[in-house]
Amino acid sequence: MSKMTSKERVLATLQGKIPDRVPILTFAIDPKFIKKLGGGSLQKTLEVLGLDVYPIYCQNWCQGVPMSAALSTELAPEMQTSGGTFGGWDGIDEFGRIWRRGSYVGGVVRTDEDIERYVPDVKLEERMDPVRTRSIINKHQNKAFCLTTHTGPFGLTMESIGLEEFSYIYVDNRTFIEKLLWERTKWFAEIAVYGTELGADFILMGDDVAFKGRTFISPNDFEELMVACYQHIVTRAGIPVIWHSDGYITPLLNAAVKSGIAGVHSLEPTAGVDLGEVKKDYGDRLVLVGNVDCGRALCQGDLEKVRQEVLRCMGQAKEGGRYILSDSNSIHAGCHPEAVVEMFRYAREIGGY
Amino acid sequence: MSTLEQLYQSVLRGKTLETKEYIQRALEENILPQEIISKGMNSAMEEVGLLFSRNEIFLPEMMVAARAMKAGMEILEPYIVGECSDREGKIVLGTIKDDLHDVGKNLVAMMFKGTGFEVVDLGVDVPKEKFLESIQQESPELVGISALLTTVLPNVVEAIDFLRRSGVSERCKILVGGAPVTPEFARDAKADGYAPDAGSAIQIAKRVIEERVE
Repeated sequence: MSKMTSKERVLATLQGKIPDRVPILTFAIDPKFIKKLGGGSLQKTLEVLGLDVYPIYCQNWCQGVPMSAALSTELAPEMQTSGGTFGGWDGIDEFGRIWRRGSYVGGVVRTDEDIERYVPDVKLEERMDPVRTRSIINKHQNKAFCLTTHTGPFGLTMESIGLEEFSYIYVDNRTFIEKLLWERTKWFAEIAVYGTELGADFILMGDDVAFKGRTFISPNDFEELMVACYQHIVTRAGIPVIWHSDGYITPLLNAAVKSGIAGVHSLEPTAGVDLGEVKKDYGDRLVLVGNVDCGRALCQGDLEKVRQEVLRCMGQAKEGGRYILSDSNSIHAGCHPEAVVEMFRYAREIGGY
Repeated sequence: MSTLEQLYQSVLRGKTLETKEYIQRALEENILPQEIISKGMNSAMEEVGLLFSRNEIFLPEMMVAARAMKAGMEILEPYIVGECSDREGKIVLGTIKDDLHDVGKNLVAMMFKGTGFEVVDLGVDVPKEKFLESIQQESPELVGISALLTTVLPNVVEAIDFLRRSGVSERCKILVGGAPVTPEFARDAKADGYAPDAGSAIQIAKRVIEERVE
């Protein structure tokens, strides 16, 4: 097969066609890693890693200060980070989430007034900087671009209330949860539409819905609550939506298919996701993205172990297409730079069809 | 259905108001507070833990059951002050240094309290020295170390090593848990037990305590 550009490769995969090789992407890169590998330059880091997909970022704010550090080039203040994947700031962000030393610690949304206050203005131009974004897209026309944002409706609803309080309200007052979910859904759809207008080829929607080994709510409840929300986002976006979630999401993949979601990202092996099983059951309906264990294989310097991990993922998911190789969450601060570089290099080497 | 059976069902289903009503009724029926706790509530929370670990109920259902249990305990506490406790054991819990996440740890704490354990909660961002100090002061049977961030796992290893070298781990068993923690990690870090979730933590804790006694 003749060599494709990154963009052609990714689009072919999203369309269920066989590309020249398995595409490669990551959902987010921690600023500390960018500092280590690219001297603080995201652009240089992306080039060193040789990724097929470049991100269109969507800025969020915490008490007026830009955040979402792992999804942007902004570096979190050194003193305020605790070493987590998402460097950040202290305070309550625009969605109602409480942050302390870069870690999410709870949420403040409790009332209808809070919903008004913490479903923020879309502020599309401020959030996505159209001039800069279009210029980057023009400069890298061979690359695929995705709007990357970890502001999906379910995760943000849960986090903005706080996990404990969310559980109580979920049982005591489901109507409130549904109202907030729909406000978040409409908000996300507006962001997605603008990302499409700017030139995104697909959306990477971060929406955490699961723990290790289990989903936050029952799969039946999830389907009842979220299929319509995701359908709304998919329809409004008009381009493929890949859903990122941490945790064991296998029981929710039927809901993803029903929603029209094009693919699923992270597929954490340590959370219990079996890539081979998911490929067998959903490989003809969903693009699978991820599964390279970023908690162990990428946190050590034995490159043979990294290659074995890439080989395992390719062996389980490459056949028949609809697979994009990626880490199982993000390139976090604990990742070994050489391991990450080797993961993507080896994927390019052995990923051909 | 007896009052205690009704109480059991109300805790299991997370019905706080009903739980309070059945406790009042049980007291009016002169059922001993310890019996109300053990047969009406602790057993219900054990069942909640099992259902959660089998993915038959999920976080919200587990949390409201724990809330009902807590509300019930608040009514019963005045009756059991000074009584000889037949508690299951004592556990010191905390999220490891540099990690501020507490939901998983809180859930574990609620499950332990709900099943008759005494819990000393050290909070989040707990240094190894604080674990040691608490173990020396409280003499628990167990210490539970929680972590959510992958990047703090070395701190867990360091804390376990520190506790082992201090000698307290001979009488206090060390349990670990949290999203990035795996059985392999627990084994390599030389923990005494690993709990994959809050529900199964109770069973594992009881097993570890039994092994300790033997």
